[in-house]
Amino acid sequence: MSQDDPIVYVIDDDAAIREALSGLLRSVGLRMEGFALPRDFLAFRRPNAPCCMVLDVRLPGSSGLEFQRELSATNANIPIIFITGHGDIPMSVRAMKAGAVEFLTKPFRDQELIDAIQHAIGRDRARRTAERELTELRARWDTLTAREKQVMAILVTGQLNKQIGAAIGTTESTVKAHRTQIMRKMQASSLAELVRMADKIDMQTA
Amino acid sequence: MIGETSLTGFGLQRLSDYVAERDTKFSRYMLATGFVGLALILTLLLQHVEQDRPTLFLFFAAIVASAWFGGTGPGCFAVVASIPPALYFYFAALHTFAITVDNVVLFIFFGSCAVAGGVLSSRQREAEEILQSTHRQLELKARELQNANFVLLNEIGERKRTELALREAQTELARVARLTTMGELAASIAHEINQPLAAIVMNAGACMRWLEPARFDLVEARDAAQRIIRDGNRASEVIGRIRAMVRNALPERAPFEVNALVIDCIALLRNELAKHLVNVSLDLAEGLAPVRGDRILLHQVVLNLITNAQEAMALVHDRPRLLCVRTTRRRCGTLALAVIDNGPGISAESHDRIFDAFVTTKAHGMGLGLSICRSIVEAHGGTLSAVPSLPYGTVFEVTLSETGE
Repeated sequence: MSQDDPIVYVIDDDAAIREALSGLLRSVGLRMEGFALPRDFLAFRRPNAPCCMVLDVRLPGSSGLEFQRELSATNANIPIIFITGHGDIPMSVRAMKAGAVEFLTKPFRDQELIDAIQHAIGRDRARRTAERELTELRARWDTLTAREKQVMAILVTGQLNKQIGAAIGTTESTVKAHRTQIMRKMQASSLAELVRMADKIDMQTA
Repeated sequence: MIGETSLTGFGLQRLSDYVAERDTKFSRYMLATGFVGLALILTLLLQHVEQDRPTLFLFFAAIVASAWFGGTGPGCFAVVASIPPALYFYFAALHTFAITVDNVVLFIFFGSCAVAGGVLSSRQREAEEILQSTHRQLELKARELQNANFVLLNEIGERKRTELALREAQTELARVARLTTMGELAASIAHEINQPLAAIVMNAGACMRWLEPARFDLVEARDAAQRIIRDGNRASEVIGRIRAMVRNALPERAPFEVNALVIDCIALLRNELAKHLVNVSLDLAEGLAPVRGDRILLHQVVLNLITNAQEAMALVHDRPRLLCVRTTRRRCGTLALAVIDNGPGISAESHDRIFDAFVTTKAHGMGLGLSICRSIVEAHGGTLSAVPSLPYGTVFEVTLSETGE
């Protein structure tokens, strides 16, 4: 299995459930890592691959909802599918509000779970792609000189070269040269694309 | 005489009141003086009309009146005050205050009669007053009694309402207790059963997928099927464990009366039964020995059986709904408790399975009631069985040992 193959993490203290899930996911070609306890999962070295988590609400020691909070506090960003034997509405509302993908009551139809897992993995993959793009954009942006960053910040607000030159105290032709460098280094084919990149990078915080 | 009559005629009450209002010794003696004076005046007038017949009776009247209105003292005073005019007008020698020897006896009679009249009158008056005050007291008492009666009636009404509310509360409590016990048990059973069930569903899904031509894998499919068998067995073990748990976990074994238990259950469910127009008859054997066991659990069993009977009869509309609870003594120290309904009865095919867990004929039943009931009864060394009742309905019969296992 390649590095990019999705992984489903399952935390359920019931071995029979873990085994059944493992068999079911294998039958649809998904890799699964099962854990009886949340701390076993935390100790596991997770590969950098799209993933999601199937979490039992009732866990020994702590509840699944608590563990969901703990995970989001560590910025783990794993989409969670809850499964429970006795789900009630307030519990499911809390879980969904805290960002759960799905809340399934046992026994559920296997297709329901598979759909939820595919959806969750899709969500994680999209997040990962966006993150990777952002990292790359940041890397490109970091190659700009301080002067170029200054020009770019004004450029994306829609000002003309002349105006930029006046603002930073240089000639229009110098600004033009900077601009060419910026477009090349950022690999932007148009000003519109550059503006979008600037939005993503969020230069204020960067 | 005319004056006296008129006085007694319409002024008597007023005079009485007047005397009562100004009830001083002085006024009473003044009244006696007045009566004697009046008698004297009238005697003088009569003397004037009928000179030949001297009269004494007006003085008697004055004495009686004085004693009546004034009491013994003024009565005696009137006697004394009447003596001089009597001597003067009546006794020889006439028109003097002297008395001849032959008139002494007569005078003594007069005096005696006057004193007796006065005393009698005052006694009569006292008696009358006592009578009146007694009458007043009686009236007062009667009124108090009436008030007390009113308060009592109110209290009885209040108590009746309270009792009604209490009974309703008890019924509700019994229902909630039943639901809570069942609910807790059901929740824990649900969890225990759900785990293997969820596993079975997933394994079956996997098995189906491995059997698809596109990814046919017989080994994987067989593995999944084996897991299904294992998880199915696990689910049935859970049920077995629950039955064993109910069988063994009997915290209390104390003697109690089965008849009292039945009466208790009926009392708790009375409102519910009345609401569903169920006629209840009790046929309880006398002199049953107590049963030893967990009263609360057996209470639940009887409540459950009665509720089942009532629910079964909800479908009956063409005949009166009859529920009979009967206790009988059997040989060998056992007793039987039967709950008999005249509902539609149990069909032959469900008859063999009604005591199995998760078998129900009700729209919203869990199918646990009878299964748990039988476990409880068996844990007490008894039996729970169902037979058809003729012409309609079902007899659920619990047998238990008298005082012992």
